Amino acid sequence: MNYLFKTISLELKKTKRRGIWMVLTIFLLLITGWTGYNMNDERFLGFGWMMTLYNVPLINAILIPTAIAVFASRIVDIEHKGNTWKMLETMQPKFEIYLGKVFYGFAAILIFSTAELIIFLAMGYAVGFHGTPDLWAYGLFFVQTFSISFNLYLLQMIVSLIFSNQAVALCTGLCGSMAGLFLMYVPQWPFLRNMVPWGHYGASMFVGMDWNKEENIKGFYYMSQNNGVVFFIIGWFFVLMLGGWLVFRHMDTDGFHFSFKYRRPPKHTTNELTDNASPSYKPVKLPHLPVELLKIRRAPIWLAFIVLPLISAVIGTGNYLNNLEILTSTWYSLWTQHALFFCYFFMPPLVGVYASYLWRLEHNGTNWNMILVNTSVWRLVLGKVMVCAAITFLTLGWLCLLYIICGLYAGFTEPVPAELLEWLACGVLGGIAVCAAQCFLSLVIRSFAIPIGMALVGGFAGLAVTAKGHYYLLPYSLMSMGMRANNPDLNVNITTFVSYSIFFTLLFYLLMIWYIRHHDVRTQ
Amino acid sequence: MNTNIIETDSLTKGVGSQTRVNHIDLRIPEGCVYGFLGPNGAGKTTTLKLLLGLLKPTAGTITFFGQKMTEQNRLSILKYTGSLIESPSFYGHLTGLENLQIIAKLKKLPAGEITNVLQTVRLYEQKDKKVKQYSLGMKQRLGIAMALLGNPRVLILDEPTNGLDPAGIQEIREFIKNLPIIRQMTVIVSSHLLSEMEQMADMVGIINHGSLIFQGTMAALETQGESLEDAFLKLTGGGESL
Repeated sequence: MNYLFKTISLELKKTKRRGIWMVLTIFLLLITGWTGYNMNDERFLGFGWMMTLYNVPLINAILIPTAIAVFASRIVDIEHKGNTWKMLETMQPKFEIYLGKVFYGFAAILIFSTAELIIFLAMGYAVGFHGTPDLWAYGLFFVQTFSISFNLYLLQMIVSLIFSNQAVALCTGLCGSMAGLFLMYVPQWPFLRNMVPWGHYGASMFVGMDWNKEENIKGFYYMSQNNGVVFFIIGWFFVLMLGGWLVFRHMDTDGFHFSFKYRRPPKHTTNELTDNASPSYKPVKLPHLPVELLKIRRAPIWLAFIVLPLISAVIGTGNYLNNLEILTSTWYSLWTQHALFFCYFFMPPLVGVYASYLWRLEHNGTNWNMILVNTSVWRLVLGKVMVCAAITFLTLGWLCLLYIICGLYAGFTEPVPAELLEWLACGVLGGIAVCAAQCFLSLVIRSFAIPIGMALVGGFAGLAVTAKGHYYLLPYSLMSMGMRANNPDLNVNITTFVSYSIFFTLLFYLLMIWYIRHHDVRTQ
Repeated sequence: MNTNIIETDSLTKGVGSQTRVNHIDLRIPEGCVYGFLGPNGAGKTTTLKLLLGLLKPTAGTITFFGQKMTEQNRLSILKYTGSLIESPSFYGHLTGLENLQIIAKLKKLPAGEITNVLQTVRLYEQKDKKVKQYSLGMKQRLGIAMALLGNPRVLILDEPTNGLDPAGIQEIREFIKNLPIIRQMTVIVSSHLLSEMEQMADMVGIINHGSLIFQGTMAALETQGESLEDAFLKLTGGGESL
């Protein structure tokens, strides 16, 4: 026990001033706010305790994976950034270093899950839910939240360990989170739900909702879980703990090279100081690509760009095909299945990944010294926003292309909606505003992960203001509204929409210029 | 070596106890190697960053090529400078060549310049390797190559021999020494090593606790004490690390 506390306190010291606990606190507040905003509605007080057990896992499935991806990345990235692995390995056994990270996450997830449990119990009593909570059920909910979240932490920690470029970990978190959320709506694929650790929040839900169109929510009921998810959770725990250790054990101090199995034979290179043979100099060429595109060669962000819309398309189509009796508007029904969650919950963090990656290139080392003596601030910022916008356009375009392919696969005989081009154009225009906002955040906040977490919060805020009718209040709501993510029939005032999109883009563009001009260069 | 290519007047950064650079008046003649010498933390890098407009001065002015530097003309002035500040800047996931291509495109230089600088720093054979796989010395060479791109009139190098092996250090020192003669460049090179300056510099400026305490030729420095080392220690207070 003493060892456990010592290890955790060491990790706590390392993460001082990293705002790590702020990440979990903000996400906890978000979960509380979202789930609790209509808790005191008199219609729900009668079954409030059960309703909470139904709602919270759902919200957890959307928010916790990203929170954990950000959290794990912050913990591991300090070692990559500080190049401290080689120092640590001379002072501590490798297993202790590994356990340090595991214990820290364990403690954090335990505190998070406990806080969530206490908050919802307290809120239930505060708003006056009828009766008393079923403590066994709440105990089970706590155990599930903790164990599933801890597995996700282990998974994210391993990815953050292997790839020093944290874009990979954040993209993995986003892709997994999306798959998990979508799989909640596809009970027909139980094995897949159990297999994907992000899907465990949905697979382990034990409260169902009695609902119909006429009477709305009638009540909630307990469901038995005969899907064997418990075994999958336990199995994943062992796989991740042991697998993570095996990976870490074989990791060199300067990164993971797959050295135990897949070492690439080194290329023969001459030693410039000792080799006297005069090399033959071939002229080099200048590529035609813009500078900012040259910088993102071999970037891992393309992984999320391809995978995330693909997950949305595959599972969205699966869900559509399994619910043909409810979803009757062919192309339009399929569109909501593809675009709803993607645009509100995943596109903003994905744009956040793009923006964070683009600015991280300059935040690294002393790159600011080099870039600011060679290019103007206007050009630099414009380049960043344009590249971010171009990838956003490709992502949304890819989503639309997959939508058409899936529609044809589903056997639609009607033509593809002509409005699709307008949705895409508006989505991209709103997306550019999000790009500018995220670029600003990633410029000011040097952390890779924090702006991505903020993007997720932004996506939610966008949904909230949209629900209240303030469609143009945030850039995040503009993008989803432009894509008609939750309602293909929504009438958008194009003039207002374009004006607000341009306003936000210009605002954040000018804020970036102002920020760089009025702040001294900071290098690592 | 008559006209000053760079001048600063009362250049200051910070206020009160936070003052990092205090009323510095640099006079750097054209066509010389100007050694900027001082103990660790004396304010060398801060001064060089101020010269490049990477830090905003609290007070004072900077004049490059007879033109007072402002936010508006900063980049047009810096077009004629090359710099390596703190440590080499690079994109580790790109190759050495790709890094140089980026600088060449930003400076609007022809591709031939890249081959030249790669040959100069003897990195041509390693140009297709990712920079994150470079050794410390190779990264330093790449940093120098980036600074040399475009054959600038002024080269500002902050401790350029860091990370190089003895042969590399000697090679770079010789190279810097010859730049004013071969390429008509003015070189400002910072170091905390007096011996290094002795080998390279025509002029020297010594900074300590943010203030310029000596500026003149190496010969003039020698007159301040029994030997160069003695003069330097006397000026900087002696006991501090160099």
